[in-house]
Amino acid sequence: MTVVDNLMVGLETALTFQNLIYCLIGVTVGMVVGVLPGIGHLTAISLLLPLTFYAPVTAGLVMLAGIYYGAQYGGSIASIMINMPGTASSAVICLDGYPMTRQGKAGTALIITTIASFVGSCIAILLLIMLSPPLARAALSFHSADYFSMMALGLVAAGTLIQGSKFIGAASVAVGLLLGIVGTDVSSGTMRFTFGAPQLFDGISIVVIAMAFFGVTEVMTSIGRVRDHALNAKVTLRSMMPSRKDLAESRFPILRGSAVGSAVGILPGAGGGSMAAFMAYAVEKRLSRTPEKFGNGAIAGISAPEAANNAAAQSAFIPTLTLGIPGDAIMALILGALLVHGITPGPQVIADSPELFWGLAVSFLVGNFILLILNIPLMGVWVRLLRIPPTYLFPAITLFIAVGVYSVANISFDVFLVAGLGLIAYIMVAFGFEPAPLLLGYVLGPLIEENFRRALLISRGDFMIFVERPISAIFLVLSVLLVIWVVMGSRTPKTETKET
Amino acid sequence: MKRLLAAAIAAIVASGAAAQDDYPNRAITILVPFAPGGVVDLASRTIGEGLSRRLGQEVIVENRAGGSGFIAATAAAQADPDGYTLFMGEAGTLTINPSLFEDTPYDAEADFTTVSTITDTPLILVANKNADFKTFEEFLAAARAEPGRITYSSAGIGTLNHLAPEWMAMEGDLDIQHIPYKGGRPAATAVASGEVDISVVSYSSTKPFIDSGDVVVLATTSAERIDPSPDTPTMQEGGVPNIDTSQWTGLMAPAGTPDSILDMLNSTIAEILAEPEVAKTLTEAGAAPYPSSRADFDAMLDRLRGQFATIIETAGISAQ
Repeated sequence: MTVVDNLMVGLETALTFQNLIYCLIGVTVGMVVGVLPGIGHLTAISLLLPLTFYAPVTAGLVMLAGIYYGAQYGGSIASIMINMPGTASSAVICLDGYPMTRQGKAGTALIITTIASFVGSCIAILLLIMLSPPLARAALSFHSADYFSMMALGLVAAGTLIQGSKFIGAASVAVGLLLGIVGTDVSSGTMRFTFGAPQLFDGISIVVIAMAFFGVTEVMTSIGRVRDHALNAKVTLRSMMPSRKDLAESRFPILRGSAVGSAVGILPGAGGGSMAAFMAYAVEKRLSRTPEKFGNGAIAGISAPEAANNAAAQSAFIPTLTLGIPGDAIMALILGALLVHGITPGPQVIADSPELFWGLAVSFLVGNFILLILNIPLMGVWVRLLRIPPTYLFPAITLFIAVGVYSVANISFDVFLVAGLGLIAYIMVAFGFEPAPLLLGYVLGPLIEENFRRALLISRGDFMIFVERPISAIFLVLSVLLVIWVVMGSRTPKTETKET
Repeated sequence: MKRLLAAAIAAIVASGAAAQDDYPNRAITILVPFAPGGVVDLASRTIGEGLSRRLGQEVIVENRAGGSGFIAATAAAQADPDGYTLFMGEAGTLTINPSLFEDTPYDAEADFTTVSTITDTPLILVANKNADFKTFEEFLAAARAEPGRITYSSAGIGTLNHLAPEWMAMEGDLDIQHIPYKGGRPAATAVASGEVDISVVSYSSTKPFIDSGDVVVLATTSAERIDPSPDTPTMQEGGVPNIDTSQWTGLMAPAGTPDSILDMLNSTIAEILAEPEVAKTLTEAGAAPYPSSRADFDAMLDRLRGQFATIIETAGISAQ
């Protein structure tokens, strides 16, 4: 089948009434949770994940994905208006977005980020459409050794590219690995840490982990968070009209941001949007003739990272849907949704369920159009969302968590598990633990172990299998290069400090 | 006081008898040991919908996944034997678990009684297209020439596609190497990619790889040739005796459920499975409608339990 045939299949699927409605719900929910600081898209996706079990798989995924990229649009609104990122990946937008608001240019900032989001997403979606089928075909010949090395690169990337404390990052991944070990070992059939409870034979469900570490924890930490930035700017349609100069100044940053974002998104384990946004910001600052403007309302400082985090949100689907390897915590949840529907993520998904893959790809385009249309006239409504009192929001979310967890397997054990783990998670996060690397460790850890041991079982204990297979060898070399690059980079003094 | 007690007992007995006469007079629940999606869930939903249509009562399909089926099976085993709680079993929960686990929280033999088998999905032995054997006979010769060289993939330890090849190895005196995967799909992909040499998989899940030529079908594990691939010989034809297994599902009830209810359900299910629409739904998922008498189902369970106990002991498999 040619690309055109495939896209026709996708169009037919994406434009059914049901899928359009799910797409609309998804992007709207995404916008709302994106705008609201305190509940992120991870929380929203964990909450709605059980709901998708009762919908057809394509519709369910269309909705979950919509939440993800919808939140990337919404996240920057809170950053720009009240200097508080709605999602982690829009944190960098605060740097120049909020100064623009203080200069009375909130409208311009909002429209530029909307355009940047749209362009970034579309470029990455095109990449997804072009790149996925050949990648999936190639991946059909991947063996366990190749998967091991690929995921090792992912974990190395997650560990080395992490922002903030490397130690805490590594510790978070390690705790995730430990949580992932619970259950029946694939290679030996041994039960690990199940304490004889059949509820734990298959491990702790990803929904439980996500709800505990993102739902319960987010609610509890948000309660204690003080909102000190008053919302005072008004946004009118007229104030949103960008000047010709604004557009000209953001054209190339948007394109560069899209490129950076697409590339980072594909890398498994790179943490998706926030990594991409920070890298795009750094690139712009480096390239700019007026770097001193950054931090004081430089338009390139919002357009490039915004394009990057949206591009990354879309291109992260490439390894997820073609290899079955999640790039970040959200993709891990998407994989969970596939598994519940009886679809094992992997290279066979595109061939087995073309309507799922192509329907999803086209729905991304549809969803981004909806977001573009939704955003321009409704910007005032989104901004007003920032005034919802948490007194109503947080108890409602807590209730959804309990109902959602129970509905996965109809087992009340899971609800208590979330409550217990949620409390532990809250304490851990209060001490600076990172939930996102933890979830990545939880998902990738058991996969890495399984593939490592299986590769050795097949090679009859010969470790050379990891370097003899060319694909595996390439990924191992890349991992080593990445470590060397990071170590070298941290030794040489930063260029910025030299210039000043 | 005595009179009151007698009256109470009489009332309970009477209501018991009445319950039997006008069964079902409220919703029936089918407990399913797997998550939605997959053949066991589909069989439950299809038969649940049919029963609801014919008996005029709601039938609730409740998925209680996990714990090798322990959770759903234990709940069903402890339910009142009144016909309002049923259990959709399959090879794992009813015939393999008792031998695989040192200790199960339910007794697969004593806690349940049979209602009817529901579906049957044939299993086939496939080989990677680059393997140095193209037929079952050539495979047997290759396996005997180099013991331990040939690897096979399974959906996990103690699954049917682990035990079926072990059975073949036992009866055919072969030495083949087990490589476990997590689930049937990765196991099938592994033989298509050439990571392992062979696998015993369901015909329906492997069809894309058969069509693309990545795998070659060698034999079926059923006793007779199978409909979707009539040219494929059985393992018994190929000279490995006794092999007779497939992926089936069967409806069970808690032990002590009145025979009148069980017989009524059995004949209603036979009628449902004969409906063309139902047959079509199941066949599209690779499962053939598989009605049976309760006596035949009992005999099959007995045979398979004994068989799997022997295989698990001979191969030294355990899940602890």
